[in-house]
This record gives sequence, C-alpha cells and structure tokens, in this order.
Amino acid sequence: MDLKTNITPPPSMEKIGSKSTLSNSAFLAEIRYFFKMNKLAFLGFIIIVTLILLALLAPLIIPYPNDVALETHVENKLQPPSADHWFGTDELGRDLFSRVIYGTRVSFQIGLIAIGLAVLIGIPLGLIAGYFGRWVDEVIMRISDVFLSFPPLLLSIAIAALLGPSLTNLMIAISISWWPWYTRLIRGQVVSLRERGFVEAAQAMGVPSWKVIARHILPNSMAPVIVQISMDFGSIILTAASLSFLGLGAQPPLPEWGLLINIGRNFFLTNWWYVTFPGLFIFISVMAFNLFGDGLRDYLDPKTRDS
Amino acid sequence: MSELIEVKNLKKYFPVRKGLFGKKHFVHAVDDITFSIKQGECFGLVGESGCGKSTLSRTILRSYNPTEGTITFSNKDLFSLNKQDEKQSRKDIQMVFQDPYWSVNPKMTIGSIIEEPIVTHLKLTKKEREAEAKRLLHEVGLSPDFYSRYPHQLSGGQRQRVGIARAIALNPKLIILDEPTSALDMSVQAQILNLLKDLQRSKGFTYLFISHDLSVIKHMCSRLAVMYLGEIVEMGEASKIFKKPEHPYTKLLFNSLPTLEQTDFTLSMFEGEMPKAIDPPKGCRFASRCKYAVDACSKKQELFFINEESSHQVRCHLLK
Repeated sequence: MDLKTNITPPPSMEKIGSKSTLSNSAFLAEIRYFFKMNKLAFLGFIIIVTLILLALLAPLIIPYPNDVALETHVENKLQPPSADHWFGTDELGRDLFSRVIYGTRVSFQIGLIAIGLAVLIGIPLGLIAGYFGRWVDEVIMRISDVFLSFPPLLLSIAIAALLGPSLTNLMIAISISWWPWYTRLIRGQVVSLRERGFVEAAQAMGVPSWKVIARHILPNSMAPVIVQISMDFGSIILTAASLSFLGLGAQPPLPEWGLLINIGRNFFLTNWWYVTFPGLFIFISVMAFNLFGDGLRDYLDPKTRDS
Repeated sequence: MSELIEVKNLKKYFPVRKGLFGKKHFVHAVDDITFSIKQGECFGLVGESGCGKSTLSRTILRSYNPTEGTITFSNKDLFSLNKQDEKQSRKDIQMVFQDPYWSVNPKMTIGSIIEEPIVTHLKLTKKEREAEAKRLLHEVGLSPDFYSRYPHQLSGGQRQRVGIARAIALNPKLIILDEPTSALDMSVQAQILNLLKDLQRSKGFTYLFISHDLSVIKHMCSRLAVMYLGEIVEMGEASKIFKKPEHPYTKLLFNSLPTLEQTDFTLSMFEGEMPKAIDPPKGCRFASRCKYAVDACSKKQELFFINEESSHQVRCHLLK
C-alpha cells in the first residue's frame, strides 16, 4: 500500500457530517448535487433568498416608505390594485404593496429571533441531558415533555395571552413552545455520539467535559438541527401570523401579515385584495421553507438518498 | 520486570430492571477478574463477543466505575487518585479503538486529532505542536501531508494509524488495543500489527491486546488470558497455552483455528449459545456447553495453578 496515495471518495460516499469538512470546490459540487436531486428544494431556496432580500432591502425598495407607519391618505382609501398601488390600498389609503413587503421584514425578524431563542435554550439543555444522562437527563426531558404535550400553537396563544400582547412577548411565547423540540432532537444525537470512539478517546485522555461537548459532540450533531430550523421557520412565521391575527402579537400600525389579514377581514367581501396579498405572502414563505427543509432532510438521510 | 498494572477481584455488574416494579437483575459483565501486566509486555485478552473484554478495558480507562475490586496502576489505586495523579494516569493510559471509522472525529483535521492529547496535557506552542504531530505521523508511517486532511479522505488502515498516533502522542505507559485490526482487511491488518510491534520494540510500550482473533494474539502477545462470560478461564504464557490448552473452552476455541496441516475440515463447533450474563450459573459457566461436564461442575471453581512451578492458571474441576 502506498501510504502517500490520497484516496478521495466521490461525494456520494460520504454523507452526514462531512459537508463542512469538504474542500471548497467539493463543497460547491455537493451543493450542485443537492439542488439537482431536489428541484423543489431549489425552488424553495430561490424563494427564500428573494424573501430575505426583500426583508433586508424593504425600506429602500418600497414605493411609499411613510405608509408603513401612521401616515394616511384617506382620499385614496380601499383602491383596487393599479399601476400606482400594485396591491391596492387599505382603509386609510396606505399602499398595501409597501406594507406587505415591509411585513416580510417583520415576519423574518420574528422568525429569526424566536428560533434563535428556542435554539439557545433547547440545544444546551439537550447537550447536558444527553451527555450527563441519569437524573439530569430525567429532569430535563420530563420538563420538556410537559411542554411537548401541548400543541405549539395553543401553548403560544396561552403564553402570549398571559404575557400581554406585544411583539416581544410574541417571540418569547413562540420560543418557549418550540425549545423542547430542539432539546429532544439534540439529546438523541448526543446519546448516540457518546458511544463513538472519538468521544470515548477524548474522555479517556482527560479532556474536560465542556471541551468534549464543544469540540466533538456539538459539531457532529448539528445536521438534523439545521434541517429542523429550516422546517420550523415556516411554521413559526405561520404561528406568529396566527397570533397577530388573534390580536396577541403585533399591534397596529405595524404591517404584520397576520394583523393585516385581521383588519382586512372587515373588508373581505368588497375589497378582495386586502386579505389576499398578505395571505399569499404567508402561503409562499411557509411553502418555500417546507420545500427547502424537506429537500434538506432527504439529502441528509442516507435512506432516501439516491433512490 | 515489575508489574505495571494489577487488576484484583474486579467486578462490574450492570443493573437491569424488568418492568417498572420488577426485580432488579444484574448483568455480570466482568466477574471477579484478577491479572497483572508487566512493564513492557503484551498481554492478550481473548474471548467471544459479549464475554466482557470491552467492559474490562472500559473500566481500566475509567469510563465505568467498578462494582468491586481494585486496579493498581504504577503502584497507585486507580479509583482513589488525587487530582494530579488522576491527570497523570489519564496521560499514561491510552486506547486504540476497534472501528477506525468511528474513532476519529469527522469534523477535525488529522492534525488536530493527533494534537488533542498534546493540547490537553502539555504546554506547547502551536508550532511545536504541529512539529510534534508531524513527527508522530511519520512514526506511524503516514506522510506529514496528512496533517491538514480530514478523516474521510483516508482509508481504514490510514485512519487506524491516526488512532495509533493519537494514542502514542504522550508516550503512555499502557496502551489498550481493543481489537485494533478486526475492522480492517487482511493485508492492512498485518501492516498495523507490525507497526504496533515495531513501536513496542522501539518505545517499550506495554500493551493490553484485546481480540477474538487467536492468530493475531499468537503473533503479538507473550502472555494471555482467555475470558468466558465475565470470568478468566485460563491464563498463562502464550506459547504454552497455544501448545497445550488445558481448559475445555480454550481447547474448543483453539480447535476452531484452521491449520495448514489440517485435512479434516469438520471443525469441532461450539454447541448451544453462551448462557445469559444476567444472573449467570453459580458453578462453571461453561458447563452448559462443555462435553466433559460432570456433576461437580455445578459447584464454584476458582482459578488455580496447574502445577507449582508454572504460571499457567486454569479454572476447571476436571483438571484439579
């Protein structure tokens, strides 16, 4: 055996856990392979990128920036879609296109913060439960079971109602009902990783626990978390919109999609555009995240790959 | 030669509870094991899968606490060390794992895998560490180019060499080799075994070599112990045991090795399965599969020396 020979497996040979370790060009090849295998995931990805750009650039691209807040033009109220107002206007004459696009920014901000909080609570707890096991595991997992026993939407409503209606409380409510999913996911990963030779080797040579977790366990358990995040982002946007629709989240005049639909409901029979466009944006963004997340899951799961 | 490690009456039981209020049972994974390894020797531990070899090695590594018994390493009790001795012993006992695909972190470069023990125990600058890691790569027969590669770019044999480099990085006193070649193909196995032998010769390492492969043990070890269901059934000089195995279990085990002279290939097979390690039989544990079994076998039998002058020990009523 020539020891200097470098044996590089084709991309399909190495699956979970090796993505970030590939060299740059191989990484690009993997990405190309991923999208080639998952056309719908690619569609989802394109939509997500577009929405993110809209969210980031909203203040620059919307035609009537002042309409996002309280400025009113009552003389233009409830106009149908036209060249001036692509999505029509609302009951105070504000441009709905500007408001819906700005709503992307609001929704993505909610999603990002809520999921960030959920991950920040859920992952460390899952790591601790899985790594230390025994009673620590029991306590953490039983607490998370309590949270998991409620449907997330119902729990979010209850917490948001308890905390009082505001955007901050909405995000807190959502992350409180979402963290146990991440705890459970990570714990399962950790329990299986703990038996791996490299974890045992590190423990045996006296590497401190926190370092074993940070260097060996966390990096090798992130793949399913990333899939979960991409799937949850859609559901969280939907939940946030539902809460705002119920009056428990964003407050007027903030152009949150759910809130827009709630107000538009009053004009539904005569002015179809008011509820349609925010609804369409909710639909498109939830669908995009689901498509992308499904594709990512299939890609990372060896059982469904290449079939 | 002095004893490097002495295992005395070591027991490791795992509790199993059937049902919520069921009676507690114990898996006797390691049951009353006593042996010692001398400085610089290679001690073999043979046995079927499930006989407790791995539990024993994990207990020496202190992944588990023993139920009973002591392990004395370099004249110190491994389970009552102060903080400094604890750290020293973590440095002095290293392990090479069975599965080269699972024993290295896929997210780390070969360099940082080998540097991990160095970072943990020695205070070296980044440059010194890199030089050291490259020296170790050379030592295990890999090119220094491997330093910045990732495990998935390596073959099984190369990964196992990385595992060995990690184990020898701190010049440990004892290296536990847990079936280091059983996951590799034949040609690579021989290379790894020769590497281990060369390292032992040049560095004077002490090995605890765990395997179910008798030919590997024969090649490597000077003394060996045969384990069956958590107990040692025979122990002594490897050459003597290979020449004349005494315990019926060892005989059967060695007979299952095909030889070149053999013309009759109907191998004497084991009959039946190993009894469960949960609440094992009180007497000889091999009795249920032993064709020589007599009534006396239902009584407990300790290990005893075959004759006064030899170090050959065996646990069997028939040989008393």
